[in-house]
Amino acid sequence: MGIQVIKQGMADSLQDLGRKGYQHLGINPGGVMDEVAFRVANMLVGNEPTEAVIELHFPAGVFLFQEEALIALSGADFGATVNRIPLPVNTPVVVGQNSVLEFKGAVRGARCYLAVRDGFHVPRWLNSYSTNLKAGAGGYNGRTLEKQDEIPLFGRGIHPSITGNRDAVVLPWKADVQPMYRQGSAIRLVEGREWSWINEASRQLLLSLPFTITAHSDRMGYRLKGPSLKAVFPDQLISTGVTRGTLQLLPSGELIILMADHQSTGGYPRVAHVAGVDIPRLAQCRPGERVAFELITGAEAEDLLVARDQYIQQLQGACELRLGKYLQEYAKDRSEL
Amino acid sequence: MYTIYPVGERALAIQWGEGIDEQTNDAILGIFQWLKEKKIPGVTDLIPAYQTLTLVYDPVQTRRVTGAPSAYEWLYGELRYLLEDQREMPLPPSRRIDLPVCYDPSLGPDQEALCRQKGVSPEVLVELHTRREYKVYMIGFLPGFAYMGMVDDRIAVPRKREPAKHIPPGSVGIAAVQTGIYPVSSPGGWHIIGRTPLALFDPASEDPVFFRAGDRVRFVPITLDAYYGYTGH
Repeated sequence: MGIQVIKQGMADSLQDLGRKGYQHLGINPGGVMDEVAFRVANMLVGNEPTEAVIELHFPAGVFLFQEEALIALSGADFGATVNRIPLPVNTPVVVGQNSVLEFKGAVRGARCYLAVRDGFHVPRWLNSYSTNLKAGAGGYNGRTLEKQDEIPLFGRGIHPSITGNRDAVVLPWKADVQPMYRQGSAIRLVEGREWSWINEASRQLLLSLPFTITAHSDRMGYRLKGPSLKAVFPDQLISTGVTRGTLQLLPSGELIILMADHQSTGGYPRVAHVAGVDIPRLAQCRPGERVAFELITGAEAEDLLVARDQYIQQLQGACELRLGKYLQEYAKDRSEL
Repeated sequence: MYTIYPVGERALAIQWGEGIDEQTNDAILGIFQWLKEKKIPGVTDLIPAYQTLTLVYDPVQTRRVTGAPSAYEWLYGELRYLLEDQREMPLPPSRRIDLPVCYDPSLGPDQEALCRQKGVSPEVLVELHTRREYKVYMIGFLPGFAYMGMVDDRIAVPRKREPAKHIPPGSVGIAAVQTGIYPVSSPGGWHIIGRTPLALFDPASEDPVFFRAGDRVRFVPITLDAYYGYTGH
């Protein structure tokens, strides 16, 4: 019993916050592209931020729930329905046994996260549920989900049943994620070690003109199209550690932003780094979208991360409270019948 | 001497000197082992490379644990303090590994072109590649991919302009003065001259990665029959 894939999506995979502590072996952390949406989806169903979720890209798969489950979707809005009933994002929903979750169209964003209460029951590889496609390990058999796959759930449903003979019950609250995505503003950058390798004019271009995320962008990295930047390469760079959000300048003048599945080390100049707080917003950008950049200091970037964490903690507390009360009252009502 | 600089606000690097140097790299591997055991608050990954050690950290966690107003400033100070003991750093345990490699052209698709470019015969290529002991300077790029050096200048070539789309696991390649083996199938730009029958990456194992930075490796040529004997085909 769990959820069954009845139609395969483009690249649905199990992910969590990533595999920490193995980069010295060339095993990259991977993990969800949008950490905020991951946290929100999990908190809405009452999970700790350690449970696996399914990361969906459009077109996403079609899933049959073999048992009743409390679920939540966060991140991109792919027009989700359960037995053709539209489902809101950032809202907890109880779906009935034998109901079908489908996604009708990409309304907004690039990656949608599906969390279920208590999580998906798959083995962890090196302390993480994240799928590492290069290694062919982690997640569900080290690969993206395919038709016929059955992913068991840890949870034993909600007893007594909430849905009864209904297809879905949308719970009456929603997580406000807007403060964490800062729509319409520039993506914030911190100077990299090789920032001075690009000349003054090119630095101005980088900070004043928009760049387009090209179709050659995936979980490993985003390739950007925009003004070609002129760099002076004083000498060849020797391979060194890189991180998620590192902006590498290729000899062609093209920029790449390293994303979740980036390799652990690289040899191109690290001209800048995307501030961690803006990576979720970048993760929700689709190919063809344009982004602008602005520069902030490392200290500012750090403070922004701390502020975001405080907001997430508050949201987590509020979600726990609402869900706890709801389930308690529901159980009380049932016992009075 | 070393410098410490930020790599965004969630990582920092410590760099020793400029260029590739065996002693510097040895020292880095020692410091890596030593710092790993220190369990520095918020630090999730330490990535040793040729001349750098990169520490990946969660600034929120560092600040929560230490109460410091700036994670970077706190880590910077802590590392300066810890590295004062640098002289007492233990050298990493170095393992010596003889690795069987088959240099049959059927398993080394770029061998012929490399020989032509460098003006050496296949026999000389194999002789030059197998007679040195290589040091594993760092692991990166792929799970278990070991950057080894330094190959003889007579067989050193810059990496390919167009990377090959599919390189099978075990393929042994050369890029500049480095040599390395693809542990999993991948695209890649190194010139492939042979293949080892050994599995260098096994996700099912407790210890999934074969090589460690600091290992000393010698390639031992084997015949095609021996290669297929190993792989059981």
